[in-house]
Amino acid sequence: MTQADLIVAAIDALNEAAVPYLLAGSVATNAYSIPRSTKDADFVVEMNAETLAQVSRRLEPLFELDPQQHLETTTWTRRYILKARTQPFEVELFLKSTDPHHQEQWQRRREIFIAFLNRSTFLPTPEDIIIQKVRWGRPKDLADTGGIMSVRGKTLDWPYIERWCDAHLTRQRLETVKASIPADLIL
Amino acid sequence: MTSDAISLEDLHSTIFREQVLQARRMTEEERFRAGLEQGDFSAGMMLSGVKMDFPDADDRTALTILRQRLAILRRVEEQGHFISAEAA
Repeated sequence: MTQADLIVAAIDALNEAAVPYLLAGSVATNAYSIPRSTKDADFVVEMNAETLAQVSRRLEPLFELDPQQHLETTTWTRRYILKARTQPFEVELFLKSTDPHHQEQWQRRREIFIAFLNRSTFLPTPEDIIIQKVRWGRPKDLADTGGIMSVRGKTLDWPYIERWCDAHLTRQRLETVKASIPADLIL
Repeated sequence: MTSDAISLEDLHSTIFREQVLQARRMTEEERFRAGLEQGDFSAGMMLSGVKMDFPDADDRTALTILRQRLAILRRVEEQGHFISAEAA
């Protein structure tokens, strides 16, 4: 079973339980950047205890649900972790928060059809991934940010990115990443 | 800065530029797929490494050891913390 098979299973389980979702994290980043390997698929979800139970039951043959709820400490987002039973791969379900940027990211999400999965899925825009990753600010997030900036170049909506980075007080970090990329790759 | 350091920096810039140009030639779907395939490949390589280190380990044990190693890697990546395999 491949990572793609596991992601398809997760998408089908969310759809079956009528859970609105957004596929985020490095899997989504790869659509806009230099592809890199990943060990997990992050979904932002609108779900309650009942739908969580439905999803985890549907995925039970493939995944084991960690019953403990985890906390992502930058934006205080709660998440559940499903560990694949036969592979080193996890699906993380982040509960959609009331954070203003998360709300806007959700409104702007794009539905795209991915032929090799034979599924439609929802991705954040590249601008929203940059804003979130600059906010987290870990080395790998900043490397991903530089990758998106370089691959998407001038097609990015810079005023939108800068507005949110100003609001998050991360503008300096954004400018540092931008300055580290050869100018001709961005402009 | 030594000439070796300068040439490594040039090499890094050249590789990065080539990666960017290659990614630009791909569609969103191709990039999405490439990342997942790299993940499958690296997971397979890491599992092979565990099985070399622990030739008597069955599949379940090998996966448990690999998960411990990944947990260490994750904490190093995210927090710069090194932890023992037992704690992972």
